[in-house]
Amino acid sequence: MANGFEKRLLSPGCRLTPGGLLLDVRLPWYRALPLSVVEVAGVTIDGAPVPPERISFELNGRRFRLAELRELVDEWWFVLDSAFLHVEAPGLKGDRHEVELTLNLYPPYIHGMTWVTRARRDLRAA
Amino acid sequence: MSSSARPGIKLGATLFAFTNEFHAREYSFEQLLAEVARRNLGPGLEVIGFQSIRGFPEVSDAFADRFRELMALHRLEPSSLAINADTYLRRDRAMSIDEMVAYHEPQIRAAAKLGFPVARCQFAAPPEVIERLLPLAEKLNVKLGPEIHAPLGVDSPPVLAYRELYARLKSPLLGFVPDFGATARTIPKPYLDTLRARGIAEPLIQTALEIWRLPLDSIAKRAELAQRLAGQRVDPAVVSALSAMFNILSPHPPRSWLEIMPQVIHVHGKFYDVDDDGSVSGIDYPTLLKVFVEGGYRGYMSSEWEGHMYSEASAFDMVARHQALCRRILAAF
Repeated sequence: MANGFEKRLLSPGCRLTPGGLLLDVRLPWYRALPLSVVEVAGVTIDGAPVPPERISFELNGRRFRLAELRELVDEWWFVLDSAFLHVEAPGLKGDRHEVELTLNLYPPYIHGMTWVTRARRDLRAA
Repeated sequence: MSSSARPGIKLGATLFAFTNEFHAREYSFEQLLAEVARRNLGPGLEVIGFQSIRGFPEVSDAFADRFRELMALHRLEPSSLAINADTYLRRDRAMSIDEMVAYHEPQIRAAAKLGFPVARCQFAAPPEVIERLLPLAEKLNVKLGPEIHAPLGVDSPPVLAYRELYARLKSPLLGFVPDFGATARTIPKPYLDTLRARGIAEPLIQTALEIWRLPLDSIAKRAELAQRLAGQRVDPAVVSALSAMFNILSPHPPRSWLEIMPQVIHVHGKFYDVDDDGSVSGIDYPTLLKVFVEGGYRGYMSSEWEGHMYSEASAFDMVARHQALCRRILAAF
């Protein structure tokens, strides 16, 4: 589908942090979904993939490891809320980086569909 | 047509049409209602529970009171609450029938609490689920009906299974919600243009279109696309973008709706764009509305603009244009 959510996947609030990145992520779908159908398929910094164990997912004031999302059938991501990806990138040098996020959704009433949304953003040190 | 058979189709909007305005945090739920009323895009108002209501299916007394107050203030009428059959809430297994019944119950209670006469359901729930929900629907006086949305048509196996159930139960509370996108002529050009604009190669688009026209369900169409593209190293995001067309529109004949017309409890007037000359591309409104007038449908049709998937146009403008077109067509009957 022409995926109109791409342009809002990564919000302007994304920024570099002392240890890496903080990504302000919007749900690329029209209605609330539980985290069990949300998958962080990949984060790259300047083209280099970040290992999943260096990323954590924050929503509704709680923080999760990526591997935990699949079980979270009761943790709902409302359409107006941001989730935050905390990305550890120790040793990241320079004050300007390009981040790319690929987020997959598995809409729970459309069996067999993988909804892939990908967006890039240039991040500069504040 | 004689004046005694005046069209019983009433117009309205679904807040789904305003997905971009809402998702971009430009309009709150209450601001959407106010703008729908100000632009005279009602009186019917359809809401998707999981889109508009935080914490859905739980609906607080305060929210329900405020909603009823706003409906009265804006002279809008709740038409349908779209609810969901989230069968694969767990990615690795489907809910059991018991789980599905339990998942629907609070959503149907929410419809009643907010004053919606119809709860739009989904075929992801098999007929047994609706059968078990009927006593609750009777108690609350809420009509239930799955939406016949592409790729389904009135003769698709899941729809036939429901029709058999309905023939047995004969309840006026059980019906269907046709979506005009199930009876499309073609994929609208602006939609294809968005695929082209993403840099998707024309042969890939044409392959997907060929598959779109095949008499297959969407899972089979996706499998067919995957098979034809195998070995071409096509980006999964491109495959996802292409295969979405199998679920948004399908080419069933408009007159097929007559087979289920007495069971139609609400209608989704799907559209992607309204041309400058006032016609909807890809979906034949003059023919479809004629079928519904001829069939004697009485009830709401929600203007359901889905062009927000690719277009930055104002949804308020698009819905206004769609309703102007529908009024013009209906005035001729």
